Amino acid sequence: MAILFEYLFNGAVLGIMYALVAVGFTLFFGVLDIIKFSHGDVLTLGAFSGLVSFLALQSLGLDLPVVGLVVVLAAACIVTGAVGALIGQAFIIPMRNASGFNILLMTLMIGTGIREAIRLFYPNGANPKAFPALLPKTPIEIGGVFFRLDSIVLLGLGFGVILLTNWLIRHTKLGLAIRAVAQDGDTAQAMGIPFKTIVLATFALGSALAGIAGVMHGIYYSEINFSVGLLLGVIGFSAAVVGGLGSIWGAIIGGFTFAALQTLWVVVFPDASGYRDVFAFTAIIIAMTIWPTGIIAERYSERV
Amino acid sequence: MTGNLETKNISAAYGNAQVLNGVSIVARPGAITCILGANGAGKTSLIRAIIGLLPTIDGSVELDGTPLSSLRPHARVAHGVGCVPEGRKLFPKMTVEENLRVGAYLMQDKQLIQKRLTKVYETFPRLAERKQQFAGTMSGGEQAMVSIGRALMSEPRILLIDEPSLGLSPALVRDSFAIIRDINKSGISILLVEQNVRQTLAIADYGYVISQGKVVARGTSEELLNDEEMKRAYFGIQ
Ligand SMILES: Nc1ncnc2c1ncn2[C@@H]1O[C@H](COP(=O)(O)OP(=O)(O)O)[C@@H](O)[C@H]1O
Ligand SMILES: [Mg+2]
Repeated sequence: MAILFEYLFNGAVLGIMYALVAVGFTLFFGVLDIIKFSHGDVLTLGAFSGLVSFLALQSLGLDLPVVGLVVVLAAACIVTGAVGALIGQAFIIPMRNASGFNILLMTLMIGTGIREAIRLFYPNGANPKAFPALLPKTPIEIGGVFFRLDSIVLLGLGFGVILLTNWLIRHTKLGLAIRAVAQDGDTAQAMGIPFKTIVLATFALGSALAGIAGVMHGIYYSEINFSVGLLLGVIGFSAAVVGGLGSIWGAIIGGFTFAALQTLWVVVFPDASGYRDVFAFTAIIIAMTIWPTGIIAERYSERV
Repeated sequence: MTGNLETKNISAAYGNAQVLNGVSIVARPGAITCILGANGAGKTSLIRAIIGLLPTIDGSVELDGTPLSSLRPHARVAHGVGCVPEGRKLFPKMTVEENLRVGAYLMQDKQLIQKRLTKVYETFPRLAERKQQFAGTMSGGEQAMVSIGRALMSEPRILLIDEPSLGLSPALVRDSFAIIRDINKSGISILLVEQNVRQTLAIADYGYVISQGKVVARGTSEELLNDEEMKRAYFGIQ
């Protein structure tokens, strides 16, 4: 019984990371109807930026517990936000009227470029890098079940970021503009909304969420490598599609669904945990054939 | 008085299909100017070109002497162009109040936004009762009110209104024409696109008839009403 709770808890930590990535895909699709496949590699870039900022802090002797986490998260958000907006500005907006396939292909190439650049130019970039333990891994016992303190904090952090994002979209002027552009870009412009600025702000926001997910992933597994974003990107994309590619909540549900499938596999077949992704993807493929528009179809969702 | 809008020889195309062929019109300050024409004549395209959603290949648009042609749509709104698009184009999954707030996006002053909201709710008491309702779930008449209210939030100098009577019952059409006249009386110039000839000419000061992307007739409302050729050719009124 206790072990089951631990599995569920670890599944939730993974779920929140996937959800953060999926929300980005949903936001990009919302404002421009595009799939931005460089998203996963932007995540990797976020994790590496966090690592570099930590090494810089360390060399200055400033790698204090809370400061370290805050600086690493800030560095990841700033770099991913800027790179996400830059990709939008330089490649996606100029290609806005091109076919969706062209944009998909182009962003896939950009992602590959980022990934290869990290592998080639980061010192010894082809090998995994230890990620700093920014949070204590102290085990905490609650009712006979052991939880890792860092996982508890990560889970709280993830939920906090998701709630903050939701609040931003629902209750701020920027969020109002993002929703207007998502629902009808032409009309939004005719009402005075600066389309391009809002699209770039959305790219920055979605990418920063991936940056946070990258750092969380690094802390959770204690290491990162140049290709972490590849699988996380595909998982996040699947989660967004399962959620209907329509709403933030759909993306979050999709993220947790994927993590739940992985967890289910590990619970049932603990000796074959390496197959958990194969199982989860297979289950998703089957689900897609049953509900082709996602679990939450767009007509029921709010489109961002 | 402000709100003088001029287009000079504007031309525009969707791909290879030219929809506007050198259209020059003037909407005078404080007046209601109408654009008449059959379905597919290019009326909506003209409105989209004025607001900046349809790029022009040639010609210019000016508001009170300021050239707008090089500006993006949102910057044209900032200069005082308001728009009630064809088919209302509300944001269906936003509440009525959120729709209105989108119209005030360019305003920074929160008190001013509140004042404008109050004013719109005074004009349309029905909307005040339904602030929190999703716009997509409202009736056609209510949606028309939201669309007009949303355009008024930016305090435009000229309001472009594209087929407000589309899909409304005769009673609601009368109401919306009355509202348009009231808005005009409050000092806002109006450029009104319609297919509904008689009711439109009854409230308009001046009008243009367009066909295949060209102005084919112009004049005061009386002149156009009595222009037999125009009636036969474009509206089938015997
Ligand atoms: N998005 C578009 N793409 C291609 N052609 C269009 C588009 N919108 C309108 N048209 C064409 O442009 C012409 C003028 O249309 P429009 O301006 O909507 O006319 P109106 O508003 O007077 O009915 C029509 O022939 C129409 O088919
Ligand atoms: Mg039209």
